[in-house]
Amino acid sequence: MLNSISLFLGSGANIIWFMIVLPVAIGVVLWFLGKHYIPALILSLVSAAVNLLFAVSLYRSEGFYLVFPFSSCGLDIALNVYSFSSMFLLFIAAGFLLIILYSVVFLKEKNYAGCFMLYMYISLAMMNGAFMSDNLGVMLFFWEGLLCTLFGILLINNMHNPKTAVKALTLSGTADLLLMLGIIITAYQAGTLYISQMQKLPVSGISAFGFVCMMLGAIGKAGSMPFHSWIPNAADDAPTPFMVAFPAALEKFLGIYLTARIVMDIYDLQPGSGASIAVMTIGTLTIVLAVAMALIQKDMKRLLSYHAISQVGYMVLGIGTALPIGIVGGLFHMLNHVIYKSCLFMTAGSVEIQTGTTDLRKIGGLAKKMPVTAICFVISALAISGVPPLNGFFSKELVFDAALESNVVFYLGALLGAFMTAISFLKLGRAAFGGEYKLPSAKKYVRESSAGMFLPMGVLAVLCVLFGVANTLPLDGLLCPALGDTEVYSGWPHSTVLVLISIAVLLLSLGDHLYGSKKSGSALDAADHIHYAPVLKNIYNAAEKQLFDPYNWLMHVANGFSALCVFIERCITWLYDDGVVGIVKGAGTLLQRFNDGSLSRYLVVAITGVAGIIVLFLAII
Amino acid sequence: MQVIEYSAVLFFAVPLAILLINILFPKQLAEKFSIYLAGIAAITQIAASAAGFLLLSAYRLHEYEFSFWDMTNAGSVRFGVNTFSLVILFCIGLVSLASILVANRTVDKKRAGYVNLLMMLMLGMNGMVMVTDLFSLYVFLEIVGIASFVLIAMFKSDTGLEGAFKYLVMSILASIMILTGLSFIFMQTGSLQYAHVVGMNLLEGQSSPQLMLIYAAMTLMIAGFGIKTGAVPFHSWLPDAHQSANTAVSVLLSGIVIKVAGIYGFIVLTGLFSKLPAVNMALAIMGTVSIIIGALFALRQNHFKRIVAYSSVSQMGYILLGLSAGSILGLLGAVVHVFNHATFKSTLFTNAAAVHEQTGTYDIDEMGGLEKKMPVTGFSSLAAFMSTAGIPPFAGFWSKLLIIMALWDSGFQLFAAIALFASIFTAVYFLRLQKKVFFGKLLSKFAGLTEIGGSIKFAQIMLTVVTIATGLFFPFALLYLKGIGIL
Amino acid sequence: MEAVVYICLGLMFIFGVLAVMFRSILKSAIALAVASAMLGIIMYVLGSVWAAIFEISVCSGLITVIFISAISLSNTDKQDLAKLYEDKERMAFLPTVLIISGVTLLLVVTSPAFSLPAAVPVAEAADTLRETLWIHRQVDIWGQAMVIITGALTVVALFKERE
Repeated sequence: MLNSISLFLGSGANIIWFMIVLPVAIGVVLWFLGKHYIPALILSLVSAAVNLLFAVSLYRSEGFYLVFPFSSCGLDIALNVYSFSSMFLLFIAAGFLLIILYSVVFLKEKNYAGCFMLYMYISLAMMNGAFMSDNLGVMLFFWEGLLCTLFGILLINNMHNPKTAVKALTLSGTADLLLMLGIIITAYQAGTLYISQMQKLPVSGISAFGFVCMMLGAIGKAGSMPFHSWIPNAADDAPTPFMVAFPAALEKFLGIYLTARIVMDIYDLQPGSGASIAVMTIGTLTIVLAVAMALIQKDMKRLLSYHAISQVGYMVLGIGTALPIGIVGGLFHMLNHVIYKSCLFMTAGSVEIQTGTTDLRKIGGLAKKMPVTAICFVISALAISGVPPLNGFFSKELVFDAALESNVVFYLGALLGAFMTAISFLKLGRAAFGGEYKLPSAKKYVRESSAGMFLPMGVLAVLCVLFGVANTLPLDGLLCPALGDTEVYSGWPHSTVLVLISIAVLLLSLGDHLYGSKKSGSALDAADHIHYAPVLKNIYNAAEKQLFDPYNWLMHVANGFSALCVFIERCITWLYDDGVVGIVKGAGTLLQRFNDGSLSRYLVVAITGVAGIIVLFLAII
Repeated sequence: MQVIEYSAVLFFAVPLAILLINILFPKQLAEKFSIYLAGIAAITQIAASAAGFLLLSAYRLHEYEFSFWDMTNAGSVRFGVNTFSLVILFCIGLVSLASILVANRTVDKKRAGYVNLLMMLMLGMNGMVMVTDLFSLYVFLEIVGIASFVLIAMFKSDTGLEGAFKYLVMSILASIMILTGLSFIFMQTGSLQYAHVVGMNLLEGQSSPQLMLIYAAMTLMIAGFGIKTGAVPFHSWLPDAHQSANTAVSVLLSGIVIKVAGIYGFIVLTGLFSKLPAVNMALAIMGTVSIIIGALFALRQNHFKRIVAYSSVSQMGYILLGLSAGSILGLLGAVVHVFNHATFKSTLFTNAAAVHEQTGTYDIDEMGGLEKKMPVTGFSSLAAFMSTAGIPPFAGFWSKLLIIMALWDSGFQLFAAIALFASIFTAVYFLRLQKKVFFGKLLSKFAGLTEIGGSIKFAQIMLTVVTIATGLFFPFALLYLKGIGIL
Repeated sequence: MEAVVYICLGLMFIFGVLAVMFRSILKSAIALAVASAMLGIIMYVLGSVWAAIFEISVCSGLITVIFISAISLSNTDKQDLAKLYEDKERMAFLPTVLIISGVTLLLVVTSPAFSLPAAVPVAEAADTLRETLWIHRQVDIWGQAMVIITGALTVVALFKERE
């Protein structure tokens, strides 16, 4: 059956109808369904399942290449479904099914459910389109479509205070502008917009600039620094399903997909080259700085959002090495990250639904009342911390391996990130689920969330274990065939020394946590000794005041620029309103004063004119 | 062929006949009816020029030469009409008609005197346009000059006399210059007939002093015709004279006299001496300076007629620029602008007359919101302003476009740019006029104001229709000109 | 003959300057007429007979008559009119103009390329005066007649009110 579906999809324009138009149509229907819970649940589940079915069938097929000359100017809709892109279609479809189930349940009885669903399905359509596009210009269209839905969802709940939405739009928009510039340069250098026709461009001269622009755009979409700072704000404002869907899953897929395509297909990135080092530096900085911020957060969602940024660093670091092992590691880490980070956000949402808050100062000891949530949280927290044998451990080891091969500095940075990740999750887990049972004053009791919520969480937690224990499944089954890589990365990491170092780091972090919690007297404040360490204290204070937020820098620059513009505009206005008028009037008055009606003066002027003509004639002769 | 000749004869015969009738009639009768006779003369002139135009194109001719007496003698003086001069003859008729219509209201006494002098003026202008000899041109120029300044002076206001006197002095200066220039040319060529002068290659095989002489002649004639045109820096007399004259006379002076006495001289000059680059350059510079200085002057005036008079200085600059291009396109642009300027400048002076008749003042600071009470005047003034400023699809747009195109083609890109830019000035000073006079709040003292009636209203409507129609049908005119092979 | 030319040139210059300098319009007009007449004489002497005739008859003759009559017709007190034109600047400007034009003339005359052209005896070309007038310059004669008619009309127009 899968074969017949893939054949059906690959013929004519069906791929557009069913992968792009259909999700949008279903989104519109769901929009109209609005608060009707049961029909919305059924329709969304069925449609997401059908989408998954399509994706699976496309993944199983041999792929195809279609060009629809719907428009001119070199922007033909060229769709290229092949192993790598169909793998991402599969990822997104699978993730979407779980996310949509969680979202519908979470948003039950919420006014904005229909609207949220519409945006989600449009996002799905855009993602599908972006993954399939072979034409960079058309891909940019879908890419920007996702920016629109991002803006829309962020606005849903915050119509009257669109600060976060504007921030996200500005930062992502800047990243997209860079991407656009990069695409223009790349297309100019390559002479074509079709990725499949591009020879791998060398990263030098103008092309290097194009590479940097495209790369910044791509990793900016994934949430890497320096386009990250809207994500923690969104954690405060946006509905939790948004956090599950966008920063945790969809944008990671899309951003990392393009990053991988850039490194693999468009540019010829040499390991150890300047561009590679630059990308890796961004990755490492993202890991360390974002996790350092995560360390001191006292809110569950906010803490997780910083981790969503930090983890991108591993992927960028891995892919940035341009080594096969690094690319595989980065992609594997992306997959793992989507699994455990979605799971973590879902648990946060579960806690939020039950207790009404995610502020760690108000809750505690929830494990007894919400065992399933707690178990899912523990598994995914261990996975993100990189505890063997869960999936995060294996992908991190691959990235470590690649980083060490490039430069020991990056390896140490990544290790530092792992150390702090472990500390922060120990703190988070113990504060929320362990210790003394504590609820916000408004709530009297809590109970486990409904099946619709813990089903996706459970599936993801199981996947965490499965992809770790049987890591041959994703690595040898999915990634390596898609990348065309024949080397075997599955199984236990081949370097025992690195594993031992990683485990030592984990133990160290456990020790640090115990020391911290003993010193401060509570698990929640276990990281305070780092927070309030002599120099770090000042840096953290500054960071909390958003002094390091690139968005604020951007805004300062923008304010300066607008002040400059206002000044120039005033100058021009003055020039028009007063300057020119003054000059003209002054000249008129001067002439008028000179032309006072005296005949002799008239004659003088006329004779001067004759003299002028004589001079002119003499000059021309 | 004979028919053309008859229509051409009319240009001389009709003014003379009207003059004769006017003189022979008893005084009282002449005072009463002379204005109608003049109207007949103007209409005849319009009809004759239109007929001449049609006949020329029917015979597929560009020009036609004839003589009243002996055609056989090679040296005898001839008259000639061509397509361009017929356009100017048409303008003469049109502006004279407008002037007569205005005079019907503004001239109370001395109607017969006004008509007599108008006839002589028309005769002089017709003669200037039709002769084919530089000296004859000068003779008819003198007729035009004398008739003009007596027309200014004859109503005997103090300012009128002053304006006439200034005009007279400058005019004499111009006459002397032109005459001296002519004599220099005569020294070189031994003949002043256009055909002879243009046939001689003045520049080749001439020794240097003789070249000097030709250049001196050019300088003098440019300056002389410059004074007659009122181009900067020879403009000073123009606003005084045009402002102080009776409005009916202002219409004539601004509408046609400066063009025939000055611009037509330049047309002849550029036609005869097109090989001298200095002539074109002098015209271009003079034109540009006129456009800008005239506009600057106009911006600072408060007298309705004075603004319009300075506007003439500025617009003459455009015509000079068109001529300076030295191409047939530039000549066409200039002649069309002569026509357009004749219509819209007459309109504006007619508006001035209407406003003055109704409000008793020319000071634009004392007016405001007149549009509500005088819609016809307001609209015709607006149309004339838009045409002057060169706003499409009004007539002025096309002629300015032709001029700028011609300049660009001839390599005077800088001047083309300045001409284009200076159009803003035109818009500014006329917008100021419009705003102060017609727009805004109606002053309470004008509550009982009524629209002008009678002949002035008719003149306004007629001229506005011509302006708008020219603008709308100009593309067809261009096609027609292309069809008969002028372009 | 050259002496006549130079004398007349000098006189023309003097009267021209006087025309500008006089405070009375009447004197100024007369000075201008004299200057014009001098120019006519120069033209005549140099052989440009017709130009000379017209210069004298039209410029210094007819036009001067017209505007002297115009001045005399003016009701304005001549003293006032004189005051109207009494301005100090012309005293400042006149030397400037004279110097500029003098320098220009000097430049022209002293330039190596320039020498006074030899007078061409134009009259040789024409057979007789009569033939010239009635065949070659026929239009001008008629034109001249018109000028005189116009002059007559203007005098009528200007004097009519007096009667």
